Amino acid sequence: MGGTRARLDRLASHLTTDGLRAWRSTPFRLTLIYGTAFIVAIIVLLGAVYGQTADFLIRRVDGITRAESSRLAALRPEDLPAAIRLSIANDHLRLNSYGLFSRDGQRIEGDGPELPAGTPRDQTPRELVDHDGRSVRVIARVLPWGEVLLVGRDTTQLVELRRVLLNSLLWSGGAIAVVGFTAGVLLSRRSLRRLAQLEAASSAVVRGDLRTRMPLAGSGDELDLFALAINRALEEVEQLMLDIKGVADAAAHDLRTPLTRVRAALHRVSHVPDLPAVAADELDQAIEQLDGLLERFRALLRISEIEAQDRCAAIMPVGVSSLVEQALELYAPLAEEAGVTLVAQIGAPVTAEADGRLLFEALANLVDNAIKFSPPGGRVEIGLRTPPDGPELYVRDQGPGIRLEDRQHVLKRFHRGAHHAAAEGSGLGLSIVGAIVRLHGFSLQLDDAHPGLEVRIGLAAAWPSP
Amino acid sequence: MRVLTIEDDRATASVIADELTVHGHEVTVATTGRDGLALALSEPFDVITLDRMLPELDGLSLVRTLRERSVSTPVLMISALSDVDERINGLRAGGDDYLIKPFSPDEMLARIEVLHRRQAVAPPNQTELRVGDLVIDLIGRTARRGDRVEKLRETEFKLLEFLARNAGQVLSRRMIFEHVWGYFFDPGDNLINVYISALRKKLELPGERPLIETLRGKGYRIDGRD
Repeated sequence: MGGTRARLDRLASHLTTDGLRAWRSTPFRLTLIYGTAFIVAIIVLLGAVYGQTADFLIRRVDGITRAESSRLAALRPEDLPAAIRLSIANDHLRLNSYGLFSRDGQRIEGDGPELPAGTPRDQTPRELVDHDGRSVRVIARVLPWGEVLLVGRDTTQLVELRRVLLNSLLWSGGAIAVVGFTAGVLLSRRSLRRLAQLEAASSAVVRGDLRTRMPLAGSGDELDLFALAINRALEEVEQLMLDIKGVADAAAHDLRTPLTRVRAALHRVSHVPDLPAVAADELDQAIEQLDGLLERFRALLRISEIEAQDRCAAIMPVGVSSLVEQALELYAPLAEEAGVTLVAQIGAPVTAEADGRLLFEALANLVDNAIKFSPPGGRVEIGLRTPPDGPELYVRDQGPGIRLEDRQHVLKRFHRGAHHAAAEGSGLGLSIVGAIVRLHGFSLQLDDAHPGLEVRIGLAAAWPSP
Repeated sequence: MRVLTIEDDRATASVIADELTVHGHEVTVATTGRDGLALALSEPFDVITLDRMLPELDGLSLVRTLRERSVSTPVLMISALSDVDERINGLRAGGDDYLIKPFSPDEMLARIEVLHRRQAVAPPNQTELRVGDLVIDLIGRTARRGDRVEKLRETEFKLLEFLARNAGQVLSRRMIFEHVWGYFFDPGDNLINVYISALRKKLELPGERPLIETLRGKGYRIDGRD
């Protein structure tokens, strides 16, 4: 189990570092296997064709040679040299070769190849090479009077056939390899494109957009089946998430009417004349606490509302630099009062595709938090910079910061780090920022500012602007 | 003041009616959009509170119809939809102010009174505002207390003007943030408080009568009496 896990992790790290490569893809490997099998089949086929043809040709050559040899052997000794000369003269194509050798091996007549010493003269066909370098198949026999008769026939055709077949094998094999490789790359590119689409969709899901579905090609292939299965799972997950969110929202929604009524009742009682001072104080405190609770519900429902908003609704090009200036102007007096230096660092002007009012609400929340958690004499910097991977908006303070293990949690509803407990607020400021950032497809990062916290909003949307 | 409350949720309607009645206003409640429209067209009211989502005829269509028939009674739209776009839709249709549920009755009352006052007092060529010994020069953008003239920053001036125009009225931080700054989200307590403090530093010197009152958890008020 652990081994499998480690292998999968290794594989995943490969995939993430190298991306998907064509030569890793299944279609490419399959094409490679099929191509190899095809080439092997062609070798076998051409081999069989060659074997059959060569066998037939040799038998034919041997038949002709044997017949010619028998014809000459039947002649009388005195007629033989003349008959050999005549045969050579009539053989215009020089297909045959002849030789008549004396008992001690001296050539008497003919142009055929020398018979190597020790070769049996047993009428068995043999391959020899003549003085022109041609392959010749010969039959040698000892004549009744002791001389040796050799009749041969040219087999260059066979060599030619072997050459032709080998050539066709090389050419067709090469062509198959090239076509197969190209087809493999094309096929795998097609499936890789689909995998890339699936990968993009799953990244969107990972980012929290549960409404995303895996794209289907409509061909009903195995990738489609796989995507369908994932889509069904996503539907289930989305429904569950909606249910959970629904329960939370319903609680906030249902509780606020009775709470509003309780507040109204307390408010009425607090206006009763001649109320003892102690009772009036208690009532005021109760009302204040109820107001805090209602404020939290309001913020909670505000988050739901932002999350439910149509992404494209009010998104248009917004001058972010001017938002930073507005935030600086709005919060300067608050910072001064808290003894905190508030500065803005605006590099080049930046325009982002955003809902300007929501983005300002996010920025205001961040600046408000930064001032709230800054020690007196601290410094809060609101800034805009343009690193290569897209412009980003940041707010940096010198407060206690947020512990690494808490950073993900603070973006969730109602979470407040331990050191935040003393500060007022609904505890939902960063969650509202998180919801606004998610709505835009921006990125949000919390970092250690040594000391303090730096919150960065990456303004390059993760999806293309509408 | 005669107020028409058009609200289908009985609990909310009674919260509104109770709060207004306690403060001496006369309230008529309609529970559907049709009834509400009929009443608004036939009887004179000073202010109308209007739920955004109503059976039969929704709040947006209702206020649009009222404006088409030249009924200019100020309308406070009340809605569970807090989004700025919803607010803008409401105001564009003819609403005069927008209050988000859940609301505190104080704030609802304050908004109704601000609307009523805005309707009642709108002298055209006014050059100054007087509240007790405070005189605001609307042209020179200065404030005078006694014989002391204070130069105010733009935001301070807008804040003081808003408080003074609604003297005697408790104004919540949300109302102030919306009217003075034009932002529609909760700025938290501290932000507005700092601006109020700045005003106090200029307008409440030691020995002078306090001008701006803070009501914890409710908001701020300039006392209109001398």
